[in-house]
Amino acid sequence: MSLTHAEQDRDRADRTRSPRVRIVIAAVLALLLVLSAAAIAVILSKRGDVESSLDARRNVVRVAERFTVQVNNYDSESVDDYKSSVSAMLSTKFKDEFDKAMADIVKSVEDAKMDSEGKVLASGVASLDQDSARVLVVADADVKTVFDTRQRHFRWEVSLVKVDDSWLVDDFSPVA
Amino acid sequence: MMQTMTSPTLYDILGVRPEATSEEIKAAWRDAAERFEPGSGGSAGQFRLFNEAAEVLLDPERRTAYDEQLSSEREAAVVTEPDPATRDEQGETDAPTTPGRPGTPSRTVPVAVLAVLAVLAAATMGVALYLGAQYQRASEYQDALDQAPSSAERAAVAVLSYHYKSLEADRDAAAKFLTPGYRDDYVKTFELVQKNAPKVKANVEAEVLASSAMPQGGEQDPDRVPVLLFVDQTTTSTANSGEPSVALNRVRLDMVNQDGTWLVDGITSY
Repeated sequence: MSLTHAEQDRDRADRTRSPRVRIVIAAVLALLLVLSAAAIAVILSKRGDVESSLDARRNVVRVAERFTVQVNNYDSESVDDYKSSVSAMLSTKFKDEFDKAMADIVKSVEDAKMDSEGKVLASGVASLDQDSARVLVVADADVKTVFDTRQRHFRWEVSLVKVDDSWLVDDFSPVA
Repeated sequence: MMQTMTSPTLYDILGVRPEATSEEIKAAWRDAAERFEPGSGGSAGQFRLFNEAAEVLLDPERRTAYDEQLSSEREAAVVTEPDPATRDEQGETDAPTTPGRPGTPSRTVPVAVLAVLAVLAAATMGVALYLGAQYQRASEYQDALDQAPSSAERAAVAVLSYHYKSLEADRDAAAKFLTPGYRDDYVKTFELVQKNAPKVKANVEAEVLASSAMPQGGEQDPDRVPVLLFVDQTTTSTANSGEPSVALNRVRLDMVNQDGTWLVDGITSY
């Protein structure tokens, strides 16, 4: 009925060991929990930087493509709409240059009753930093005039700057 | 427990230790009987109490049974009343000397708390590993976007240039920049060049003016990056009277990372 001394000693040892083992396990689990939570915080911070950069790539490409489409889609009867839609995408510096050039462009479009339909075929990011980017754009346009219809093939480099969290076109030029 | 610890035992009544010998019990009983005998200052109740205690403790069988009862009462009390103060008292006075007594219960962590901690730790580790893998892939993809264009530029020059006097060497040099899968297509296409270039003594030199990594719409694969290049190909041949003609090419090279080397897996001209 009663326990032997050895059994009593073992029983007593088990009773005292079990709580200690549990405390050790709890400490290890708590440590893992804290380390994992810290790792999550660090990863989220770093991932935020990478994703921010990848988002910026997508944004600059989107703006450059939209600009290219806007510039290459016009007709002689809606020149004012054309000017305002393109101007809205330009930096202050480039807007001045563009407005000056538009005087000649408008005259050519109206004289030749020019009608252009353009589309973007491909684009990619040539360079990107915090507040500037260069995007290569491949585009084609069918340009009708009173004289003929021609297909034009473009390869442009569009420069962008970031102003108040928005990407604006700061320049564009054919790559030749 | 409180009953056991505060109510006097038969040993307490006689004023002896639980390990007291029969002789010691007898002596104590006699001493008590003399002092508390009715008529000598004691009461009949007290006198009866001493007699009953002595009766039990001087009978070995009844004493053993009483000791066991006492022991089990204390054990039950320890289990049902985990009072820290009481535990300390028992631990210091009884545990080392009384066989069969439970060990001093220590502070411990409930199993439920352990289970919750384990689930939380596993879940947090799982999330950390998942996010870590995602970050690793995104980071590798970003590195790939930086590396692939320069490899594409070198490949484009080799693949899009040739001289009618060194066609086989040019083809083999270009093939080094191609994946095994695309190499066969390229070699077949180049057979046309090998057939026609000598007839017009063609010499084609490619120059890359600009390159850029193209964004991927769906999954961002760090081992596959399309690169857009603006490449001028200057051709000199008898077909244009030896005058150089320049083709303003817009080319996409599908770059694939194979064992750390970026190779061309396809070419698209716009």
